[in-house]
Amino acid sequence: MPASPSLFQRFGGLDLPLSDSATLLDTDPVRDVLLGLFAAAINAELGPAWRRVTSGLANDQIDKTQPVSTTYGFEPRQEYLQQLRVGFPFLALHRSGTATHEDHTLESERITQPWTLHYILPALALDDQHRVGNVFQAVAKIVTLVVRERSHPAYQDGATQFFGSLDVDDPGTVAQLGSLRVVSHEAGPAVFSEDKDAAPYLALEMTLEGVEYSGTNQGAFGDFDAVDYSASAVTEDGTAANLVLGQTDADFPP
Amino acid sequence: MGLVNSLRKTLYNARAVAAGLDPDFRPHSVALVQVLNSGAHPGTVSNDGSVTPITESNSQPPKVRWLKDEEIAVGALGHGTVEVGPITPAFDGGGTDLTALQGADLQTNDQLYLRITGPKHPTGALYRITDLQCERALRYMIRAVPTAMG
Repeated sequence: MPASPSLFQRFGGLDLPLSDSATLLDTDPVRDVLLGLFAAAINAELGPAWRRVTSGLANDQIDKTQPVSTTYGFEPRQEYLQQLRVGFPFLALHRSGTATHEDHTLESERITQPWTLHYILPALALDDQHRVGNVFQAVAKIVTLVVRERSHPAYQDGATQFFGSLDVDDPGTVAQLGSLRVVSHEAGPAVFSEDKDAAPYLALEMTLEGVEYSGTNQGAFGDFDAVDYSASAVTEDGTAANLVLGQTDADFPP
Repeated sequence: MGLVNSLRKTLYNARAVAAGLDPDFRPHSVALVQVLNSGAHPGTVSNDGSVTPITESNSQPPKVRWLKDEEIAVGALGHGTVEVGPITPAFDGGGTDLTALQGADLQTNDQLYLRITGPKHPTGALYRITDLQCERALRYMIRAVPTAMG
């Protein structure tokens, strides 16, 4: 039994009660799993071509070994990126906009959540932009195909993502999404680089829509030990008489 | 570099004069704070890196000035923007290395902040560096915007 009372419910990737070693990072595994899935797919599909093109670039800011150098789970706004040394190109994924809550069944809820995926290159001169600029449409199409396939061989050995694991006792590490679809994509200046006089950081921005369902967290319940049943009737003098007595543990009969 | 070196040394000593007096004209101290990230994302596995005070001669802090509302409005700057400096560039015998202010030795996903401690922030506050003026041979100027307490 958990140390504190719990609902024993799950909602998307949030499994209650949390494990004894869980941190708040474990309450939203969907984002990190999707980032890992998309990054692995892009690096696997575009890696060789990327290396052939970037090996001749003079730009030191760009990772010349793989098209996704690092991933971020937040909106890549200037005030956040100014705090750290950024690895380019990077993939950023975050929940965005307004999430809609609805009844799914009488017993479960549904959240429809917009997500925004950013793929951002470092500032490049015009000739370098021409050499690598086609990566944006390629990334958009790869992400769309990965969402349709719900997997990629380069991530978790091709395990099917979304829908959760078939083993209710072990949700595993797959994304706990009911569904995911690509809504739109747009290539242009990065969210922090829209001033025409600023250094040109080009980016791809994709809008996704995910659906998460609630349900019972069956895997959180402990082993069934025993239960005592009793039913009684109260007589006129207030005496309670047991009509049915049942026990399932080894102490029966008492 | 002989003339520049001697000028920097002179300014290094002169810029410390205002500090350490009674009353103290430089009540705020400044330090460069590094946060090293080794996890998949910033914050998953973080370790405190170095905390390096920025000082002039005799370990005195540089000038710290919060910009006035008019300067913030004219420059379209963030609320709470602070200007630190002039900071004497490195020379034989002291000064501050530019690569330290730029975070040149940081790895991908490591974080760099200014921590300002003093009457305005008794327990210290973290500022992110938004501008580093280093085109002059005899001084650096830093502009930073508040980010977090700590």
